Amino acid sequence: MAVREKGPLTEPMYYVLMSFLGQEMCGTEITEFVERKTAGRVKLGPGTLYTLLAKFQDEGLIAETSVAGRRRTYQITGQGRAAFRDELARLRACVDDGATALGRLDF
Amino acid sequence: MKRTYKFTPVSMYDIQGLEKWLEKLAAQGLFLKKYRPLVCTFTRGESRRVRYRLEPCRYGIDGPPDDMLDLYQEYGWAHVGGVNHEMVIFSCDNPHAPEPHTDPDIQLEQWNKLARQARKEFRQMVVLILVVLLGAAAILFWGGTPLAKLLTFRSQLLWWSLYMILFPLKDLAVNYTRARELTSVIRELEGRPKQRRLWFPSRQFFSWMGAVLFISLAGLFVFILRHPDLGEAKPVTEFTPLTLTELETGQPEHREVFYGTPLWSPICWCQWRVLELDGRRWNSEPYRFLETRWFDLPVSSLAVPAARDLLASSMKLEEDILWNAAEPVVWSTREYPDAGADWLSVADSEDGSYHTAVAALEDKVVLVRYIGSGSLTDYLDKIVDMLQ
Repeated sequence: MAVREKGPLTEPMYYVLMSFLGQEMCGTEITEFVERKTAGRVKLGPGTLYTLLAKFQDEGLIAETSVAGRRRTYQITGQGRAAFRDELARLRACVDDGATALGRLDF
Repeated sequence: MKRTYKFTPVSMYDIQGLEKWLEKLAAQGLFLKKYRPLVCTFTRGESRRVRYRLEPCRYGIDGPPDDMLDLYQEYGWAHVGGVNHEMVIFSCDNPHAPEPHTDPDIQLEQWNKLARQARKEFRQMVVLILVVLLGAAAILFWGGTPLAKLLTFRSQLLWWSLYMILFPLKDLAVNYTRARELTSVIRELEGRPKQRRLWFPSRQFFSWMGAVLFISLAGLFVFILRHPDLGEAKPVTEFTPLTLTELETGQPEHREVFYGTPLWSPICWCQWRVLELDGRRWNSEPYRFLETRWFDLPVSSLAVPAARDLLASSMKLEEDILWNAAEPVVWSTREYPDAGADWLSVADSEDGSYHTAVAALEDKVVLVRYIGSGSLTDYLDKIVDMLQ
């Protein structure tokens, strides 16, 4: 059963959640991570990021760990990891299905 | 720091218009200090290119959430102020800072949330207005004499009722406009063509209306303060009222308290109330009391129905402490079609102490309530004369 019941993650959501897998992150670090990882394809402004972080916090996928001045740091929760795994499995299935279909066509 | 005030030329929901106006002023060296729907405050500084962005976010008296402001600050966007506790204004003078929203779908989601809230509040306001209107209708129609109630409404009650009805109505219009304007914002963000504009006033209209209303009320308050005699007893000019001296023949010793008060009600702006009381017997039963209420109605078609309502209401003997009875009173009523009025009726209590008469002629109605040993039937001509 899917951990996250609100449907699949969008691309920005997927990458933001991915950014927490290795370590705790603050706002600008998340942006840098996502931009680096996607070679600049996915960009995050503060409005978009704030909405996503608020959404993830509401759903219990991430939690705030520390506040240092204006920097707030977040970490992924167990539920967040599970949601990410689910999404990864879904994407893999999509990729496999696509590859199979393409292979059949090529053949 | 020198402050400058400027009239706000655009509606608060004309997001792009407002952002562009603020950016234009920043280029002229004026930086937003405080946003208001009518007049914004600016501080003067060195002119430079500044970007302004409005972000949807509902917040309470504590202001927008700190985590939001912190995150925006981290990206170079400074919090400047708020609009109507549901939008936050950010500014940024770093040309390399990213735009707040890089995902239009997420941005749209935020605006949709705000619009849904606005529509919900509009629906709640409709329900509230219906409840208020139903309550007002119940007060008016309870007892089956709505015209009498409207005619004899106390002015304080009227003001209170106006407050109770007009203010929610104004809020309803404001909420309707807000919901429409937010829907327009969303359509614009979705890239859909603008809706055919049904007429609805802008939020600015209500701000101006509120300012005009406030100034008018302040003017009225000053006028009332400068005319302390308003509402005081005055000589009655429109008609000659009946007197206790005429009715109580043979008892000329009573002391008269006699005065006329001009009054008004929602449907009758010209009316008089004349009270006369036998003061000597006030503390002992039975006292003598005479009240004449005279109405100049705006339309003559209301006169007879109003007269019937007034008689029915008067026979209930429950309006005030002077016209009251401890025990239920049995009435005998008689109409006088040939007395020279469009309608005239007199009601007397079985024990002969309570008397009431109501007459209507064209657009005027007179109501007489009398406690005493005389008879109103003997003064029908005089009653009709009050209507001439």
